[in-house]
Amino acid sequence: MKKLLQRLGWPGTVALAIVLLFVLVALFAPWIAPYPLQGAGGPNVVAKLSPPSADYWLGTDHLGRDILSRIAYGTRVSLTNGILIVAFSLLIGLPIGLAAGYFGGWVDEALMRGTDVFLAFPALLLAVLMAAALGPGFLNSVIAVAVTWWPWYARLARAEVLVLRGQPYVEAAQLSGVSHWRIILRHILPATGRPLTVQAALDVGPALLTAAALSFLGLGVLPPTADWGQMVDAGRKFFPARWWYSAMPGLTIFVIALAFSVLGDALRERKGGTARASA
Amino acid sequence: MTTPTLDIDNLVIRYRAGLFAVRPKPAVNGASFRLAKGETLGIVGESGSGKTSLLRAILRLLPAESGQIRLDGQDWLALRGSALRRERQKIGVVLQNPFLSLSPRLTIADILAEPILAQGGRHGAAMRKKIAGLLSDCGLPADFLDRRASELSGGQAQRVAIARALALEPSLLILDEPTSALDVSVQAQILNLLSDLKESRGLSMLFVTHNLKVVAHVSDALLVMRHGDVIEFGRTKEVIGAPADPYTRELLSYGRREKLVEHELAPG
Repeated sequence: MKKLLQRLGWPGTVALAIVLLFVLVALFAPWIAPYPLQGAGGPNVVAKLSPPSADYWLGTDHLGRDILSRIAYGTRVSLTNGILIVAFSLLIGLPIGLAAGYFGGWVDEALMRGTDVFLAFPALLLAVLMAAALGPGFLNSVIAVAVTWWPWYARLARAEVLVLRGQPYVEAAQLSGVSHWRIILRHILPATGRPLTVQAALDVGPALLTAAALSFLGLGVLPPTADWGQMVDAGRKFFPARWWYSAMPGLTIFVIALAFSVLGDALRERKGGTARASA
Repeated sequence: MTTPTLDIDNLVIRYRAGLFAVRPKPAVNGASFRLAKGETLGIVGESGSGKTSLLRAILRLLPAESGQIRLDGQDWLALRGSALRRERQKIGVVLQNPFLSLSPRLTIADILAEPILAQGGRHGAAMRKKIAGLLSDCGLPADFLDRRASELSGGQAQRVAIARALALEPSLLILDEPTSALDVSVQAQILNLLSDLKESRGLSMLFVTHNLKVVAHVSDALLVMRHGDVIEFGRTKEVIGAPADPYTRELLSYGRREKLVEHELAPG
């Protein structure tokens, strides 16, 4: 633990703390939020659009709901969104990358050219197109982003496998008659697993940012479920007079995206390793 | 005369160039030789001489363009897929760098068990006994089984690699520069171990190296390669005593003048 913090340096440590804080908030939102009922969507019209005060630390929205509670509940949506996007992407990208890197030749060509097709589109545009085609909703937005996300994991996995494939110990296994399946399971997967899961954990940030962008465009989670992107969008109508409505969730998105990005940089720098172009 | 362990006839190996590129010169240009049962054949040549290509073709890691390979009389190049995988147990391989050829993630026990499991063996006390026996045949005590390769010295790791190569009781043991990553004192130990194993198990060996001195010490027959051609093939004594080709004489004189090191470092 101490070693990890040392490796991260102080910006990385702060970023890690912020990420962990958000995870805790997501887990315990009903107990942490000052107004759990409003956080879950219950209106409170008497206090609508009140500015930040002792009662409502971050102000209230157009239905009088406490924005702090809404943000706390939105953390659940955003984090699960990010995690699911990354998980779906790994599920598609990892096997494709493994197969391409391990078997090489025409398998590699076919799989990677297919992957390139997805990379040829601007990621956000493709996500918006997908989301619009699938219609709004939580799962649809996850699928829409994952479709633009998995090619990165395919490429990363392929690169890792290519290095491993040439290792004499992998060759030795093949020469003693070990089947491809066993080689992949015993030698390739454990070694690619670690760098890939680190990358995936760090990608939760950018992934939830993209998901927030979708819901800002009305293509994500539907009200009354709290979602940061959707809150920013709803607050736009009252901006700038009721600035807190959009600004508070916007600030939250900014903080968590920054935290993930700093954390990623800290880990990458010390490892001197696997950077990838971020979507 | 009994069937030779390895019988290679006019083997040509050529690396594929692009579709419209000029066809490159073959990496191995019509090699023919035989390895009799229980004998050791040394293959010598500088880097780029084709000895590694020849080896990889025998291991079926490279396709042969034409020619024949017979292993214990069986058409080795005709095997495909799972049949090839099953028959691979006839050849054991020891590679140059023992640390790279042993997985850093597995224990020695797992490494030794892997080939046996791949050929249908089962975990259990019998397996443990078998791999402990393999280790002791290679001069290591059984308490090495739970260590990892990174905890071993170069010589110990190479002994483990030899034990793994013998796990499936192959009839042919292929050694690719098995001593060149080791200290001189350890080299001698490994060479002694190999000649003991050859005696006790009746192994045929293919010993590939660029070090003529080492190979003259262990081989019954010698094959010298240069630029993809076999330029000399005969009994070790004859080749050393009366080399037919000027290149072999050159190699030998290097050895005598202790200039082998320079030769090894020559770019290629």
